[in-house]
Amino acid sequence: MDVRRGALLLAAAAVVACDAPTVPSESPGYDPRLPLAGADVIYHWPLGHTIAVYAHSAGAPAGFDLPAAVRRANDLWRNALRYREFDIRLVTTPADADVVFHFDTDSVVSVTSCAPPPTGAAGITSACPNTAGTALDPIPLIGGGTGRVKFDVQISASPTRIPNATVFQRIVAHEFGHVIGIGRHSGDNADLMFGAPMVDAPSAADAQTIRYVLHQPAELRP
Amino acid sequence: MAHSPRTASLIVLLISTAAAVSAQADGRPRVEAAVAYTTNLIEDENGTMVSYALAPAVGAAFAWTLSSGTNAVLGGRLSRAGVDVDFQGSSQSAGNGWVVDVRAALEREFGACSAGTRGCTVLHAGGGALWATGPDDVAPFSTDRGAMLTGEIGIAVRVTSGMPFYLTGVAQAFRLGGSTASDPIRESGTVTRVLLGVRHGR
Repeated sequence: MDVRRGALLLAAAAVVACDAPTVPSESPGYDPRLPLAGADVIYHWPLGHTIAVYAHSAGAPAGFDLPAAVRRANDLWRNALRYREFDIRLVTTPADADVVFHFDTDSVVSVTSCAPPPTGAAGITSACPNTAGTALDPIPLIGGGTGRVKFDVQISASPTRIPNATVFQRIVAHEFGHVIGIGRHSGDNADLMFGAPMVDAPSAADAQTIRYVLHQPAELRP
Repeated sequence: MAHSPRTASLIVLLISTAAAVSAQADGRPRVEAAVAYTTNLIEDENGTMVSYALAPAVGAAFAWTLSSGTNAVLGGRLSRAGVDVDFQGSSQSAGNGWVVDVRAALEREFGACSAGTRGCTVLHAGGGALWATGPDDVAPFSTDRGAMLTGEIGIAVRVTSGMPFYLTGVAQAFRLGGSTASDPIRESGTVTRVLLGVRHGR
């Protein structure tokens, strides 16, 4: 009888984990949806995806290390995450890239066929949604071929827009936020995703926002 | 990985404990091997779950007879497990981790155990401490939790009359979450490990 009771206790213990450790759901710190014609949409890479990034350093002002800035931006944003939702790897040719970072003095992709020519900002992230607004089309490579580039990130080389390495890193980190799924700007200047960023790392609201975005169904898929 | 020195120290602790216990001349040594199933370490309401994969575990223990049919046991187990992250049905490996536990238990024998015959059944209950590691960029391993208290119950059934082989089943539970203000696990919960295996030694 005691043996049977013990076995029952064992079985009960095996199924007792009905109160699993729980992380409550979060709301975004601000609206992260990308305004497309007719709708605001959530976009992000598939969870667990390793994003291939080509950092085109041609035309870099002295002291601006674009590959290092991209790696740093990746680290900053990943610090906000909990489950390694994405990572990056730097690739050596734009044909192998999902994302291209470059200075505005020299590019390897052309978004002119699907988006207005990017001008007049310290950093600009461009993409080409398909006509249905459900996926991003590859951005054509300059020199031929379509490749697989889904985001073109242009960083200004002008010292009036980006006067020093600190601002440069800030702008790269801000644009990286757009690449990973934040489709709008925050209205709070304490956030990295403020239109004219004034802080160097994702804020708590930025962190909440990216965690929210990444776990929503993607309506627009890179 | 940042947790490697900690893992090494845990292994040293385990070996030290075993060595100290083995110094007791009348302790009966036991070794065990098992397969460990662990319930979810995290259930995020955004649809993400983190868990250890099914993993092998090995252990050693010493038992002392306290009175007829009643034993005290000190032991430890070591398991290396894959860490899985499930994003709303899409499961991905995030690397590996270690689970180390040390325990003390009381056990009670039923059946013809003193005669050393098959069918001897032993129940135990006890507690101890457990350390769980994994990739430090994946919750819950991104928060340093130190040792967690465990409770466990188990059963062992002797399956041979000659050599002292037993089939074993253990259910072990520990609480996880809420250790610090920055802990993403706001609602602490119970994690259960079930270990099914074999043991050699009375």
